[in-house]
Amino acid sequence: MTKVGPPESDPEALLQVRNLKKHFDNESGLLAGVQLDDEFPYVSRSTSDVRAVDGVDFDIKEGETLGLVGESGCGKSTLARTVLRLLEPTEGSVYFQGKDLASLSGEPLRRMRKNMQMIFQDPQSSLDPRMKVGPIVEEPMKAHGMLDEEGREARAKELLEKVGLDPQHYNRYPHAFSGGQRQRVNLARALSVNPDFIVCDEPVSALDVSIQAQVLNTMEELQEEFDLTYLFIAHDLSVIRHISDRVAVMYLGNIVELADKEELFENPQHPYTQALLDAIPVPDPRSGGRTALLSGDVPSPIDPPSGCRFRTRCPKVIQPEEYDMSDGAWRNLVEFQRAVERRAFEETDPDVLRSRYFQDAVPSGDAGTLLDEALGHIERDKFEDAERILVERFADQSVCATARPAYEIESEIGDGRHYSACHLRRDEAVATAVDEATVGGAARPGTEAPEADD
Amino acid sequence: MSEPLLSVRDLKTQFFTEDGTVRAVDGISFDVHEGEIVGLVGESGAGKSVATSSILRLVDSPGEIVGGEIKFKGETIFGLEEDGGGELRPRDEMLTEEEMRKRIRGREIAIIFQDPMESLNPVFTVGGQLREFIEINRDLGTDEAKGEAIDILREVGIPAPESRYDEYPHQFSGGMRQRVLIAMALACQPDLIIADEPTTALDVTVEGEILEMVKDLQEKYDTSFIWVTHDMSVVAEICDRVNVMYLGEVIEQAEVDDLFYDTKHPYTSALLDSMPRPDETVDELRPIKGVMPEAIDPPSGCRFHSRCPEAREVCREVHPEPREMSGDAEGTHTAACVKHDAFDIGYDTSPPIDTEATGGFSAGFTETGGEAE
Repeated sequence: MTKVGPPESDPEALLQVRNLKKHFDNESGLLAGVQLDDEFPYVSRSTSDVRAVDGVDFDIKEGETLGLVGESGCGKSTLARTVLRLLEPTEGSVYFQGKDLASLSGEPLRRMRKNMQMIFQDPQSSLDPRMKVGPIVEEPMKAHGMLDEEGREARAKELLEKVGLDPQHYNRYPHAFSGGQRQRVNLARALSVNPDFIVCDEPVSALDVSIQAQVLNTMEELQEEFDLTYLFIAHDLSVIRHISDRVAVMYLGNIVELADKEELFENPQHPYTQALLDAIPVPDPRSGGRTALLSGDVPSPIDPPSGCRFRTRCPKVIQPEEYDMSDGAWRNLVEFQRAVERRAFEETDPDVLRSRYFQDAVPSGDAGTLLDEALGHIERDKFEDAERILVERFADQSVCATARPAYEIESEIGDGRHYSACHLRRDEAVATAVDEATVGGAARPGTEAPEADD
Repeated sequence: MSEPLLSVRDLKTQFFTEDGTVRAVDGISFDVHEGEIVGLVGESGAGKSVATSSILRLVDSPGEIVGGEIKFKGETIFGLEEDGGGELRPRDEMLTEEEMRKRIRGREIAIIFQDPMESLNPVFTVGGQLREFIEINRDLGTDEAKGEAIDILREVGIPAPESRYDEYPHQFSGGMRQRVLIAMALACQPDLIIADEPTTALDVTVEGEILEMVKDLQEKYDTSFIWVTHDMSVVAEICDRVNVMYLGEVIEQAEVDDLFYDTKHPYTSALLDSMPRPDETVDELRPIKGVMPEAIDPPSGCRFHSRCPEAREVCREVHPEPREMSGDAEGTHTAACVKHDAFDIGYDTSPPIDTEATGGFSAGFTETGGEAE
């Protein structure tokens, strides 16, 4: 598989992630993946990996905050852990200060860890309840042999003060602190070894809004003071907008868009980013609420859609070239196809379905014939056959299904680079890394893979 | 205004612990009218969930409802009266435990909890649980109830409901599980649904879908809702009227638009100011200083004075009851803050006091220390 991703490379970057992949075994043990069949050879074995992170590239410059945002299950936390090599990457490399972490091991890796720290989501479970706060903050220094005992205590107290706690609380246990204060202890612990880079995995999502703001402000102050670089993971776009310099949007193991904060929020170029932004509730009753919502669930990362992973939910899927439908007719068809897949209706009468889904525009020509065929199957209550026609002849023929998108376009705001993995941007792209060869077996659960595209 | 569907008056719920009495809900009053979505908003520890469990009389030992009155459609869910010796005892017309269980809970007032995984039994199929609920509460036969269950699953947007009927809760995503719970709450077409942070654990995209669906269903069935949340954006989107809670008390009550555009209580303004905005870049957030004190030993006077940027001497001494702010007699906007003219107890002449909020950067320890959540 050739490399697909943002064609950016900055030798000055503190962290460079290249084609990083992390797959998990879906099953384990002696009989993992063994299946019994009715026919010879009766027993078959197949493995199915969960592709949590599947080919991710990005750089983080020194002193900046890269926000990483996405829905739950998109692989954000796995990416963070793989970057720090808390998880072994399946493929790809992570260059930190010029050294490839993926190839390091043992003592050299342990030494490198001093420069990279992590803050976890749950302030409750990330602190040992049987250790006092002081020793908790000292622990990383001990592990890396920094300072002597007195020096460590002095530094721990200093850090507690820096993160906005009272140094007098050195001898308290974590349970005596509120959630926001525990997250501050986590901050102090991460800072203790003087790291250059901190990965923050949803550090404020467990906190109340008022406390959230306190912790975010402290994190910004510390970044300025210690010249820190953050990889900041959150699912809350408001938080991301507040703290990030650049933002990466992740969907199902891929980064779909990466740009400067203002550019991304004001000029989003990927339908998924647009959908996410539209979905954020605004604390204002006069805002008119959210517009156009996404439908459907995130597909399984075991067998992700071919090409663009968002295509099964995308409101802007591109029409296959072989048809010549009006835009309205194509949208109706897509909606109908998804409704059939979801079995969203019981109705089998073609005329009723036509008036429900194709009121304003009906596909004509070849597409119309295929639609008639599908409706015929539905009339005979054969939803599977109808689904197969609709999926194989329409959804899987779109360029969205046959090629994995990767484009870089001009930024409208600022002069940063703007990466957008959407085929709609193919005409305005200044650089591409589209890889059509990757998509042969556009496998979908329950249906046969179509023939490889031309 | 017509007779409210649910009326809560001066409700007090306390927990008797070894360390003392926790006044989790301390004299709250609000009404829910037919077809209305009423918000109950506040930080964790404000007493929102205790208030909703009190409405269903689900408070367990060591907790107890110690005062106030709850009326639902003219019936008394909770009410006390004095007997001859000055002792308080439940009134005669108060519904019995059995009536609550058989008639009210589920049938007339349904509740949706925050964590859908804990509300569904993991060893029974989703469809089975829904069917059983419908069978018992609506006196339907098994087959009929199953048909009804599938219909309602489809209505809440579960794809392929016939096949998913036989699946177990772990095979559903978080959003889907929450839809199942909403289906369960709607199954008996109750008059009131209490939703206790139902979308907090969900992604914004899923949250949006669910709120959208609730709005549609609410229009269709004209059900009233009490929507418990800590998220002001959700309030802005879905609620008609809002009660803001702080430390066991309702400190402001208003129509949703008034709450955001004519905010009366400093706590409400502080809460609104501390939120990062998705639609604009804000340079610095203005958090509320300090943490919420414990309900076991609430501050004297106004309970928010220890964190209030506008606190004055008088705030420490006078405990304000919510008063009407809008000036008209209807009572559409009440707030409990003495800085308003409605109180007239010399706020303007009272000297400002030093609090965490007025005195520089502080992580916010109360004097006692050892505070929990």
